[in-house]
Amino acid sequence: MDYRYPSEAEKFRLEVRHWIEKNLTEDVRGIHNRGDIDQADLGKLKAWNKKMAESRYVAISWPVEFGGRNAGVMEQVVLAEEMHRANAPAPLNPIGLNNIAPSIMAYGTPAQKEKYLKRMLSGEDIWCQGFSEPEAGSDLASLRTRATEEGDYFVINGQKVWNTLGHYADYCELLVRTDPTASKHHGISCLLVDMKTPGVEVRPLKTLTGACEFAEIFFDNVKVPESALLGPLHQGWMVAMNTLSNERAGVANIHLGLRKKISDLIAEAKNKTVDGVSLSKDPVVRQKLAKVYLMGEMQKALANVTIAAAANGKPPGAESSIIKITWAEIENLLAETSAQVLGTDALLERWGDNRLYTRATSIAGGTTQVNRNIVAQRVLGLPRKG
Amino acid sequence: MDTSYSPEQEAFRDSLRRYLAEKCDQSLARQKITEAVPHTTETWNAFVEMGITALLVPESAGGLGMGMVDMGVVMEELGRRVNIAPVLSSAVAATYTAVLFKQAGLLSALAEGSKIATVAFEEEGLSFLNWHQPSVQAVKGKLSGKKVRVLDALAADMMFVTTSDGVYLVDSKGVGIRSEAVPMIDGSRRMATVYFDQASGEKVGEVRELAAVIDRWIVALCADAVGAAEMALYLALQYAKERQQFGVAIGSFQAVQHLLAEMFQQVEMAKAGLHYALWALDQDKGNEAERAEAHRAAVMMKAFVCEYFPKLGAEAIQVFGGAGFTWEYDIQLYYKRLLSAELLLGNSETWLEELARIVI
Repeated sequence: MDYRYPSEAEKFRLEVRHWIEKNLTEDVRGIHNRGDIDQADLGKLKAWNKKMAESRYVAISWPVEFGGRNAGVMEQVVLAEEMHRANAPAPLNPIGLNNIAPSIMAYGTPAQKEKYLKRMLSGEDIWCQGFSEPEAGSDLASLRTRATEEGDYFVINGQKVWNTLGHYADYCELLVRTDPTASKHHGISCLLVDMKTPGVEVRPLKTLTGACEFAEIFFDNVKVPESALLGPLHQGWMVAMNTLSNERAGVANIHLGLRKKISDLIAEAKNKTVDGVSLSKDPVVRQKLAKVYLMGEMQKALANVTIAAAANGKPPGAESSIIKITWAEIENLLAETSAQVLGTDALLERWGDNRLYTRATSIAGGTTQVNRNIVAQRVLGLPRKG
Repeated sequence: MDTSYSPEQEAFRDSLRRYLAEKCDQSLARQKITEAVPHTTETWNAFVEMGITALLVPESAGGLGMGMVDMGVVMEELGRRVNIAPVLSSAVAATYTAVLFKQAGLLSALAEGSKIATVAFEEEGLSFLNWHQPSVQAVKGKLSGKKVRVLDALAADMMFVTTSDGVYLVDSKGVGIRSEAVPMIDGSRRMATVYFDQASGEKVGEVRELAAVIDRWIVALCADAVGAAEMALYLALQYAKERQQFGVAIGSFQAVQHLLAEMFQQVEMAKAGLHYALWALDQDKGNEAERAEAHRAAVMMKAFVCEYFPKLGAEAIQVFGGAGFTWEYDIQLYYKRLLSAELLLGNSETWLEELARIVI
């Protein structure tokens, strides 16, 4: 056991910290890039993204030829830590960089790689994924959006939902059914679709928070060229699963964001006075805050197991299957704690919004219940329902 | 960064696990619990042979000079078999106290297994976080007063005792000392109330220095609890796969699957926190920052065990249904072991308050 970071990673930390100090301006620091982004902020974020891309800080795990640094997992973790420390906005294309690019690198033609990766990295093109449908949520493989081959084209018809960044996106990595006669997981193909293609209609999806973080996308006889196909025809499920399994350093981002919120809540409790006494002196408040702090640190400990495995070239262990579940639970604990500690003030602004947003944590990216089924059956070896 | 045990540590685990499975699994513990009798000399000698009692003793004092990470392996395995031998009290708490206070003579006796020792520091009416303000009196080397919840007091030959004048080392079989067993719901751990009436002792150090001992003690207790929790999950899982109702294994029901998945989640999280705490303790060479980080990690680990393991044990029993409520099935042993891990050495409220003092 050794929880210290390798010295090269610590050296990289100093380099990153210095670069951020030099390049991050106050008007960009802390811009919230979730949900509705106004045009002025979007412009600033694009400029910041471009600056990061030029110095190769956007996707350091990418190969050097595509604008990355071929960096290992510890460097990725260090970069995430320093970005959070400085309250610097994350790159604009989280879905593209982490989920779509790996598939393009693995299955794309030289022309596709050339056309898409660089502009994705710089933030010039924003990407979304078109996976979920109204009737295909947790059961994603039952998707029904069709693409039929007509000459040199695919013609797409159907509807997608829960498209993160869909209303800002220039391109979409789309899963469509190309062989309706094949079994569920077969007969799906992956297309890279220009969102400006005629017949694509995007409707921002207003969530219960009131913000538009997602979109719905409708496809009405949308004609895309053959060259839009990513990977082999009818094997889009394999292409997509490659996408979903490329998220290992992301576990650091998850606990960094969570723990930042927890320390902010503790700071608010210290600053808030009730009956002339700091809220943080209240024994009940202290118990609640200590508990949520504890859980944030435990989430970090769990993430470190996965990160260390990756750093040592080992496959992810059993802990990786529960990291999403525990994160969602701790986000929920934090939301409740904010209410218990701040009272009515937790209906307002940041903590009010956070409480509402928390509802998504146990749903998005696989509900807690579906994940528990997966843990029970695949990790614990329990039988499927009789 | 590496969060796993070394191949040597895993090999050591394998041999200890094999020994425990063959020679003293939970059925031996069950027998000792039912009869309320002490651990056997045979077990103790085997542990001495394996180096468990010498693990934390420095090489200069005839020990193995190993650390808490190594001890973590031992404690996890002992927890898996609800072992009743006084390893936690003697080989961890008393041994580390002897290291701290440079008690070379006692250390070599502890290492070779010829003596067993414990630490008496809790008192009636003294809240856990005020452990450093004991009321037992020491006047001219004579101790008077009462200590409670003293682990393995009856098995111990020697005892470190906190007094208003510092920490004293006493012969626990000596004149003026009386230990009374206090039975509790977890019969796999033994504790006693100890009365001192002009008992002779020798001052060995200051009370506050024991903070480093308590951190190691609670983390070792947590390692034991992690082993017990892992076994409780394993037993419940096996039962869920075998037990048939409505013509199918009960483990095929989602409601049961989710209970088990949730238990698995707590075990994995606990292991992650435990291993970091063990490592942080071994990094603590006495400077202020190292000490503070080891303490923070230890406090968090104990708070987590207090908060989640009683529920984990209860859910394991729930999976067994009626069978889980019987004396016959072993799962009850594990539930009780987890309850004592929760409540010995400070409960959830205690450690969350200590954590609040650190972070708020």
